[in-house]
Amino acid sequence: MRYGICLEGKKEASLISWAIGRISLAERVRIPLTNSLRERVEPMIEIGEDVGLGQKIAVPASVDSVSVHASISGRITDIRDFPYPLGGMRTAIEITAHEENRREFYQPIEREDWNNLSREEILKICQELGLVDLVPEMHPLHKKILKVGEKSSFLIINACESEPYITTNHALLMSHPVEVLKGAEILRKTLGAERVLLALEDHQLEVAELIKSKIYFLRWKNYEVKLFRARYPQGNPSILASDILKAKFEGSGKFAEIEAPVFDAATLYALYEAVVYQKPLIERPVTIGGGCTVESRNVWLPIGASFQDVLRKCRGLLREPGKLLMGGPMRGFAQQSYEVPVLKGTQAILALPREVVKKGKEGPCIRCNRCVEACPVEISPVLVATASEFGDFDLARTYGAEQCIECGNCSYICPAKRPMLDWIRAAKQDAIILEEDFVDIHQNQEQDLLSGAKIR
Amino acid sequence: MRVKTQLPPHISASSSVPQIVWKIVAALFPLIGVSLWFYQWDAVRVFAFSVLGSLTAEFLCTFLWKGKLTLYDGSTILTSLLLALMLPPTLPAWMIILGSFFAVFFGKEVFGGLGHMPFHPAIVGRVFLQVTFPVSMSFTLQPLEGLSRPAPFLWMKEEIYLNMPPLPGLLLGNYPGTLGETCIVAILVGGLILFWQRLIYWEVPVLFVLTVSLISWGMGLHPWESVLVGGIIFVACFIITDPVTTPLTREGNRVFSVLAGVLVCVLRKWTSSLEGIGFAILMANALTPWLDQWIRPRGTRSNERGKR
Repeated sequence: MRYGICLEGKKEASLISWAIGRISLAERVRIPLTNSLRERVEPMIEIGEDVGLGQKIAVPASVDSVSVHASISGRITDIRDFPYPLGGMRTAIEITAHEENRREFYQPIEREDWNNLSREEILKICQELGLVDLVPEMHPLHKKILKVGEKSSFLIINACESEPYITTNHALLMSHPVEVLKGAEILRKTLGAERVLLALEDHQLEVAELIKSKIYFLRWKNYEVKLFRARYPQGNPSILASDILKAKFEGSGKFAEIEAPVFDAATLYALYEAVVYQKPLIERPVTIGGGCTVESRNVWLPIGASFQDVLRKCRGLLREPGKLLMGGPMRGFAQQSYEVPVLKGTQAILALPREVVKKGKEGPCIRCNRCVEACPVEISPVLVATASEFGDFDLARTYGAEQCIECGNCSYICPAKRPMLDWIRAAKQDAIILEEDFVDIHQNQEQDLLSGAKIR
Repeated sequence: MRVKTQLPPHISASSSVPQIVWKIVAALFPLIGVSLWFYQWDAVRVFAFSVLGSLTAEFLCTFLWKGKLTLYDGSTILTSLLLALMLPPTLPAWMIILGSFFAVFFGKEVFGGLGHMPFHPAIVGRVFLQVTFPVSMSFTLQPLEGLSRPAPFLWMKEEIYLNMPPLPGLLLGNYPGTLGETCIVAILVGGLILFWQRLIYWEVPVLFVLTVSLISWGMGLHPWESVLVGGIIFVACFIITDPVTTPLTREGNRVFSVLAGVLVCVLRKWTSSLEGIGFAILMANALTPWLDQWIRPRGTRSNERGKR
């Protein structure tokens, strides 16, 4: 990446302790059945039924989807549409904790000879235990593995968290380094990759040292740690993969999915637990923070716990936040209600203060060229956005609108506070017809925003 | 159309347009200080009437088109200060007011205000005054003495210098000239402030001055005396570094400054205007959209030829 921007990290508060804490379990969870419009699952329980922790509650009805598991033990109280953090409503199963069958922790059962599983068995485990890539796109893991090409020589563990506040991967690698490495080894065997590369940013030196020492003691020769300059959006899989392959950036997908597959460190940890301990994906590490929370920390959260419960368990908010976000401040999703559930792709729950999210008054472009210098894919955001603003989407695409990876640098850097990314996205969406999940996500969010509700 | 502020990114950089413009104004302070020292009350008079004329234009436009007053972004003040620095201290008050009114009204506001003007407004005002009142524009005072004398002048057509002071005087600007174009040291301090605040690319002034110097040398003139008079350094640091009227990309800006340098030399040599620099900048400004179209980033995923 030639350009990119320097963002203030603001990671100190949640890194006071590396330990990822556990808060006492939620009383009620709402587990969304699907995470993209292509997935189809069949619920296999009835309202009123009792379920145990980790029990399967929905089976996949198509190859694109994964199973869903109960993330707390309790009673099924509802199956209907609930607010979804990426916008709109999604069908979710509501489980309310129950005194009779309360179980606090998942009892691990070690799988026999987990070291010698075939590729098909791993794929089956991924689908059965509900594994997805633990990033907001939430691609099912078995699909992602199937997509990887035969001649991929690299496996990249992505621990670059280039967005401010988020430290889940940092904390996870500090507290469970060997588990993540073993998860990577399982995946490496499955993919047939030769080398594994852990991508870190240059402020994560302690992680680099720890992982290097673990690799040394494990005597794994084909593992290496690579530090990148801490610039946003270094953690973008496509940019990371093209940087590592030293190739020209080829847009979303090609490198990151086929030639040098990029997996989040949290995904590898979940894979390790699923393969070795048969644990379904019922919880994930999440950074709670953003400046308005009393406690900023990393915690394991059950999938489906509502933001409200989570914030309350972390001793609540200091003041009313300007925005409640799922994910980082650059690419996260603003929430209209506190009732939305934690998803498998929720990396952070951030309550940002008013003065941080405050946007200045929009003015005319003064052609300062800062957006061009910030753009990681080296298009000219100002030309694209201006063409799009005047309704000429074709011209905007000639200027390279489709190459945009929606990192948000141009909107961030613009001194005239112009919503550059919104214009670019408008030009893009005229072009792309619901091809990728993240397009669904943005469109859903946009439709939902038309109603214009604010956080109360 | 609607601004969807709920969409990411949710944070934004702290810099703003008014901040950038006021920083440029601050970079003019060394120059303003020197001109006040050189010409005392004459300088005060020029600055005051220039600001007055530009404010009149701004208020008139707000009134005419029922827009919002945008004084806070500082661009009107910046235009009037830049114009004042390019005027001789002896210019009558009504001419100053007229020129600065013209600069803001026809240079900036008729195009839609800050960010929309194709030509640099201060240069528009200066060219207007030069064309309309050539005699008043060419007489000036000896600094610190108050004697009326003609400005030193490079008669390129004949390859002779008139009233040229020695080199230290050329750098300090202690010779008759306009308010702000003579003191090279103060201009360079301002330029360094702009560079330090990352408001300009260093190549832009450097390439411009080098181009003018080399071409003048090729025409048989003194390589550095030809750039030290006639406001070349001032234009290099403060006029062609203006973001609005110059190309977007760094590469485009390099081409722009070379082009402007060539035009300055051409106009100095082969036209009847005394100092072709104003027209040269206006012509280069007019080429900006073409430069933008020609030199633009093509993206990393593109097969188009051109800038990577």
